[in-house]
Amino acid sequence: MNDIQILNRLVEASGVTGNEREVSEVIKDLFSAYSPCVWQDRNGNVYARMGEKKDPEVMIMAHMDEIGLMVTEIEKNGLLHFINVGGVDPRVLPGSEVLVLGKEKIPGVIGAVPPHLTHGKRGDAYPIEKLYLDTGLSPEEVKEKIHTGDYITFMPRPVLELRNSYVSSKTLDDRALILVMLQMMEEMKHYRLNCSVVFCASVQEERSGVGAITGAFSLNPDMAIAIDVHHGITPGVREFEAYPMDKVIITKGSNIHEKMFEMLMEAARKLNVDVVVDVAMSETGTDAWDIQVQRGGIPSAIVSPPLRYMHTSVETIDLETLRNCGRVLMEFLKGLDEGWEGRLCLDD
Amino acid sequence: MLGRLEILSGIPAVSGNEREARRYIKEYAEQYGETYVDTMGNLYVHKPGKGKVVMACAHMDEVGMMVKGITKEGLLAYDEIGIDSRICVSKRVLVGRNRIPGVIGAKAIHLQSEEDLGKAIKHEDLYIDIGARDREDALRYVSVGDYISFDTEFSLFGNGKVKGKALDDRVGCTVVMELLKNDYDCDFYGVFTVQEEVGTRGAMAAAYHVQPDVALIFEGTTANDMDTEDVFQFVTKVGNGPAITMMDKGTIVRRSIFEAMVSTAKETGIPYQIRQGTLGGNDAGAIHKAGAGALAIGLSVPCRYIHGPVAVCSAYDIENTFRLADAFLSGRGLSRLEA
Repeated sequence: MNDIQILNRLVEASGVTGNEREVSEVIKDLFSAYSPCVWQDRNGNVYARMGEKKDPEVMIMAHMDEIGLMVTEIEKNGLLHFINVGGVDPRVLPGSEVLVLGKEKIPGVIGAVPPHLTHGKRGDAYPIEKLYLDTGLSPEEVKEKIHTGDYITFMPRPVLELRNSYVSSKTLDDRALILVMLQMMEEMKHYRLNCSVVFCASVQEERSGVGAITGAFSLNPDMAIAIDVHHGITPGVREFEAYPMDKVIITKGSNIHEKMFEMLMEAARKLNVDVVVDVAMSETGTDAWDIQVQRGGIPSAIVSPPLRYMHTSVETIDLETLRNCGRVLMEFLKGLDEGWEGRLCLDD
Repeated sequence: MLGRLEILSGIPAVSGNEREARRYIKEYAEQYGETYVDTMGNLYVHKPGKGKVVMACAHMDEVGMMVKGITKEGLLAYDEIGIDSRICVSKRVLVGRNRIPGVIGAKAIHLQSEEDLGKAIKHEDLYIDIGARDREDALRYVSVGDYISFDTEFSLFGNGKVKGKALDDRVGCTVVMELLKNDYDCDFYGVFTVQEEVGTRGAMAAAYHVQPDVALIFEGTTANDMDTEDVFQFVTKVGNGPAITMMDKGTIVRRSIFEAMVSTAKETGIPYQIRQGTLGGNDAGAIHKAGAGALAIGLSVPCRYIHGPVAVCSAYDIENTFRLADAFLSGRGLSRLEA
């Protein structure tokens, strides 16, 4: 399994929140190499079941959608204006290369008026309304190929391999965790589990969570683990808001079933994997928040790798730590047996 | 010319570290004239001849950064020249001779306060991440003082345009390299200067060495042609032809050469525009003051987003800049100037 090759396929496919079609095709294709049971629901979520359906059924979910932009206006001179779809910080945009998903895929550059030629001050960030997208095309060509409502992504490029096992790319949030799913599927070829696992690539995590809500409802698993990225330490971040790049992060808090938390910590201990606990008293900002209250309640947990520069085109992650996330999850799954309901029981 | 521009655009050659660009250009230029390099690193290509001493000049350096220090987490703090911090965020870079890849990231939006979001992130809060585990690890790959440039792929873009880094001033270098192929009736120097971006420093030395009578300075210049209401100076427009300078921060162009250039354009039907704006300067500022003074004029290719990771210009403008200079030097312009 070539991690980089797979990551490239995943991050280079477009799939902005609300329009995940292209990347969902890539994921269906990748899942099909490991499972004969791959399907897609009416919202766009993609599922792969490993093994025959039996109890307990564990759903492992990662979201396939990415943040992006949407064309709002086309000026007379062919320049485009846009808004956010999901949490794009406008300050990362000036000077960025992007791709407009119009009638065809059209490369563009995001520009802003140079500071010495406007009345603005250099210390001010450019608000999104003052930015524009330049495709280099004539206004007629622009009007023919691009329309209001067209999606825009960061320019897809192959993943950048940095030192050690670090890589940098757009959309590692959350497609790096789809790679983890595939790594786990590879492992499962050699191991028979006492549970069934359904991997689910969800839609629209970055906005409404409709993928997680309807997916959890339809599947109605016995347990669910959302695998999403969390913040890696960089300068200027308060201590305990972000974590060292080599640690697997396991969340604890009201969104997390306390027994699942203990079982995951135990799994990491058994493997000697370095783990750090992320405390979240209420909302976790992941699919787990939506899953937990479906169908009368689904025991949920979250496992995350640390990621630097979230929601930029240079998100950075350690492939070693990523792999450890998968290993911890596998160990957790191996530990499930007939006594699973008792172990989860909160009436103790 | 676009093939050469593609290669030139990809070469990392930040002010103070122009070696790779110089090597590439020198290897090409050796077949056309005598080449030599001075103590600042300027490259001269001399095609001896009779008549006026003419200098065709472009600068090899691009804006960029240097590693200033390495934090204990292994991140690189940098010093920069000519780069607005607002275009640095979320970009790929290359560090040092071995072109170690890195990224300039920003604190995730989720961790920002409302107040933070309205302010531009400053250089002092930005770092280059090469994926090192800590300072000691980083030092195995990079050193303090290593030069850093943006990592951008050159390509054709939109309608007859190109995009890439360092179009300021690799477009100028491309034009001068093309001019070297022809023979003009003068004592001709093709000069590729260093350190323009830190204050036209290479040009100061070059002007002293060459002592030109006439100097044509080829640049990539600001095209702020994106018609928004906030703009009070557009300077030049992409696609409207080479921009002829009448005045900028460093030079007021003498009437005689300005008119000779404009007449050349009119007579040959080569599109041109007047550089509408007095902001910014270039090597002409240094050269026109050299020795007893030279007749210097700027001929620029309009570029959008200069001094950033990706600039855009028109392939036609590059072609026409060459054609205009060629026509001027082939006697149409040169001969009109006072002896």
